[in-house]
Amino acid sequence: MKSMKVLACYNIKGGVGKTAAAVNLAWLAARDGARTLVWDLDPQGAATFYFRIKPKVKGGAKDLLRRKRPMPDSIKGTDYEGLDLVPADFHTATWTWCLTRSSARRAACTRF
Amino acid sequence: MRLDAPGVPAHELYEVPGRSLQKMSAHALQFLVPRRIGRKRIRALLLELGAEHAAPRSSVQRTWYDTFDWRLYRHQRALLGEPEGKHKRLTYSDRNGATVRARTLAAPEARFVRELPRGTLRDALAPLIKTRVLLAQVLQTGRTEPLLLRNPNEKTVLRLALEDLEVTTPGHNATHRLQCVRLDPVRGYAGVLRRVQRTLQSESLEPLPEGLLGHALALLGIEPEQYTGKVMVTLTPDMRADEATRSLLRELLGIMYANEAGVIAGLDSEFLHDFRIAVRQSRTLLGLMKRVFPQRTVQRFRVRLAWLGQLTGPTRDMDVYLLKFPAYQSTLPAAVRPDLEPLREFLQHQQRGEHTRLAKSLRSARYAKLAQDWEEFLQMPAPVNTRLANAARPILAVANERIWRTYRGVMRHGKAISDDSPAAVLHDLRKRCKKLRYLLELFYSLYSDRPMKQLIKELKKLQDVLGDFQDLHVQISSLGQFAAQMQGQGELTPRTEKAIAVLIEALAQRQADCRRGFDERFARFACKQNRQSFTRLFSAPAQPLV
Ligand SMILES: Nc1ncnc2c1ncn2[C@@H]1O[C@H](COP(=O)(O)OP(=O)(O)OP(=O)(O)O)[C@@H](O)[C@H]1O
Ligand SMILES: [Mg+2]
Repeated sequence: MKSMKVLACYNIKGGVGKTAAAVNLAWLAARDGARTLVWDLDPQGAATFYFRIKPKVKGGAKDLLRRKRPMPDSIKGTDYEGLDLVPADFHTATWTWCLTRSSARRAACTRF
Repeated sequence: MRLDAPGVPAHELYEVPGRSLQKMSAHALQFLVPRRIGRKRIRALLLELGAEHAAPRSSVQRTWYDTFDWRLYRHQRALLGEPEGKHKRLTYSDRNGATVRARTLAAPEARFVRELPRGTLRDALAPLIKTRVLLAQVLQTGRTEPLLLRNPNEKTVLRLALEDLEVTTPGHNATHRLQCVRLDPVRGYAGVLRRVQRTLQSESLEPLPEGLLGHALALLGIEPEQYTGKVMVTLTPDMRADEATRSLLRELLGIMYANEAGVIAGLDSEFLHDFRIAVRQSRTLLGLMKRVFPQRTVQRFRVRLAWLGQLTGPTRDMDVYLLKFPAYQSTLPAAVRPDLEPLREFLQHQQRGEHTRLAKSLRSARYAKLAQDWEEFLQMPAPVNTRLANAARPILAVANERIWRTYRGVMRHGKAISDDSPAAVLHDLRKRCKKLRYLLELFYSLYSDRPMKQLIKELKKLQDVLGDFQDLHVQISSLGQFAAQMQGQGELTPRTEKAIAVLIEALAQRQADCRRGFDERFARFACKQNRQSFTRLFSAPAQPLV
C-alpha cells in the first residue's frame, strides 16, 4: 500500500451524518475508478445497514485484526461496482482493543 | 441519499480493478441453453428461483479484442468492448470471463496501448501487447435480458442475464446463433451462486468453462495458438536434408503470407517485422544449406528474395525510428523535448511515403510471381536420385555442420576484434551472429531443449550489444541526414537543429559505452561452458544412420 491520505468526519454530536458522509465518499471514490473498501468498525453497523449487508464477520472482527483470518474471506460485494465492504461485527469487546492499536488496523489492511 | 441513485454517469472515465473470484472460477459462469429447451423455459425457471428483472431487455454489441497473434488469449486474458454512449467500455478479464481485472471507458477508435486512458487496464495490457494493434477478433450481437437475485434484505446477491446471441468475425461471414445464461457473481455470496449453477446444470444447460469467447472460437474454428510468428516445425534427425529444409522454408513462407495483409494495411509495425524476419531466415537457410538444392535455382531465388528484403528495408527503418522516438525524447532535458516534435512529423511523413511504396510493391505482379514460383519450388517433391552431395543426407548431420561452421566463424571473428577495430568489423560479426541465431532457432527441434535455450540466451546477449552498437552507429548518421533533409525542406528551426545535435551527442556517448561493453560480453559468450556446449551439441562427426 502506497501513501494513504486520511479524511476524518467527526462531530461530538450523534446522528449528524458522519456515516452517511463516509459511505457516500466511498461510493464517489469507487465511481471514479478507485478500488474501494469500506470497513465498518462501528459496533452499531450503520454503514453495513446502508448496503443491506448482514453485520457478521467470520470468526469475528478480532480474528481479522489479529490477522488470523485473511481479509478477503470477509469481504462482501455491495450493489455498486468497485465498492466492497467488510461488515460490522457486534462483539463490542473488539473495539477498545482496536482503537488502542491503530498499527494492527493498518497491518490488516495491507492484506486486502 | 446518494447511494440510492442508480449507478454511474455513463460519460465519465472510470475503472474498477479486479475482484478476486478465484474460488468461484472453478465453476462455469456461462451456460449454453440447448435449442430443445429454449429461453422461455429457462426464464420461467430463473423467475421461480426468485430472480427478478433488473432492466428491460436490450441489445448487446460485444467485441473481443486481441492482437493479430492473440497475445492476450495466450496469457489467459480477454478484452471485451461494448459501446457506451460515445465511448467504448472495455472489460479486461481472465479469458473465460470469470475474473474481471479492470474496466475503463476508452475512445471508440482506441487501438493501441498509448491511446487507452491511463490506469490499471492500460498498465495491465502494456507489457503483453506492447506496440501491437488491438484488432476486433470476435463479434457478438443480440439481445440480453438482465436479471438479479436479492436476499430477504433486498440485497443483490447474484446478477444474471439471459441472452440470445449471434457470434461472428469481422472478416468471415460465418455466423452462429446461441442462447445462454451468464452469471455475474457478487463477492461474498458464493452460496447462491452454487445453487444457481447446480440448478442450471440439472436442467441440462451446458456449462462453458472456457467462457463465451472460448465457445465462440470453437464455433468459428479459430485456433489462437496457431500463429506464433515463429517456425514451429518439428524435424526428425533422419529426415532428408532437402525435405527438412523445404518444410522449414514452407513454414517461413506461411509466416510471410500470414503477415502480408497486415503489412499492406500498415496496421502496426510488427506485421512487417515478422514478415522481414521470415524473408531473412529464408535467405539465410538458402545461403547456408549448401548442395541441398541445385545451385542455379538457389542463386535465382536468393537474388529475388534479396529484392524483397530491400523492398521492406526503408519502411522498417522508419518504423524503428518512430518506435525509438519516445526514448529519443527522454534523452533530452524536459524543457527541450518539444523541440524534437518536428523530427517526429518528418519521420511519420517519411514512413507514410515508404509504406505506400512498399504496399504498392507487395501488390505488384513481380511480387505475386515471386511468391508463386517460390511456393511451387517449395511444394516440389524431393527427387529420388540426386547428385547433390547434401540433399539426401540426414538433416541432423547437415545442420550440425552448418551450425558448427557458423559458430566457428563467430568465434574467429569475435576474437580478432580489438579496441581499435572499425565499426564495419563489428557489423560483420553481428551478421554472423544473426545467421547463427537463425540456424539455432530453425533447427531447434533437432536438439535438446535446455542447452539450446541456454545457448540462444547467451547468443542473444551478445547480439544485443552488437545490435545496439550498430543501430546507434546508423542512427547517428541517419539523424544527421534527416536534419539536412529537413533543412532542405525548410522545416528545420534552430531550436530543432539544436535538439537533434544534442540527441546525436547523447547517442554517440551511448555508442561509446556499448563499444566498451563488447569485450566483456564477447568474453562471456566465449566462456568455457558455452564452448563446451557448442562442441557437445554440434561438432559430432556425422554418424551414418542405419
Ligand atoms: N445530508 C443528509 N440529509 C438528510 N438526511 C441525512 C443526511 N445525512 C444523514 N442523514 C440521515 O441522518 C441520520 C443519521 O445519519 P448518520 O447515521 O450518518 O449519522 P452519524 O453521525 O453517523 O450518527 P452516529 O453518531 O449514530 O454514528 C440517518 O437517518 C441518515 O439517513
Ligand atoms: Mg454513524
